[in-house]
Amino acid sequence: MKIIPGLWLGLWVLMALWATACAQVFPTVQAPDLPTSVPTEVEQIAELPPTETPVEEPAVVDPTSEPTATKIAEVPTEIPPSETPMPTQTSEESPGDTTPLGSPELHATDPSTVNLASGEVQLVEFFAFW
Amino acid sequence: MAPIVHGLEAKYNSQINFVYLDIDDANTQRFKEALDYIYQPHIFLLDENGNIIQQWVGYVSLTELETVLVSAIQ
Repeated sequence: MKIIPGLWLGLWVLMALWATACAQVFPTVQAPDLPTSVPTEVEQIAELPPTETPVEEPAVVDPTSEPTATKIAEVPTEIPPSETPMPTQTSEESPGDTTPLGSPELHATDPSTVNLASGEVQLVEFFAFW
Repeated sequence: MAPIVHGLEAKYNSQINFVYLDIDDANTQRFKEALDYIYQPHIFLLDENGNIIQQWVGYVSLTELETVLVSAIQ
């Protein structure tokens, strides 16, 4: 295949002009200065101070010695009474004004403690929780 | 149904012994038989010897109950 040398020259000129035009339109961005020396992993490891790993010696237990009794601190089971008195329910109403029906504290009397002839007046109510 | 006399208990517990028997508790059966319990709520006012002074079956007003209680302890 025979190529005309003038055509090659023309193509080179066009390419040069096009490259120049592109360089003006898109100015080059200068890259920030990068560190020239990157520490290698080997260097970092080399800079670490040598660590000493203490070797624990196994405890020698004398089989003839009796185990020592460890005293367990006694925990007080009683809760000290709080110094702040419990709030007492006070009502400005006289007790004879209203007597509420029922009570939020629903409870049944233990039948084993009930004696119909108790020696005092009794009010016995049969009820159900449902 | 909850006991309806708790309010009276708070007022008269020093003079009257209040007893609440759960009808679903099998241990209350002997009291049901002794007092001829019908259905709940069934309230009995008993004297010192266990004799029935008065009884109420079903709803009873607190005023009526209190009136009888006061007369019983006087």
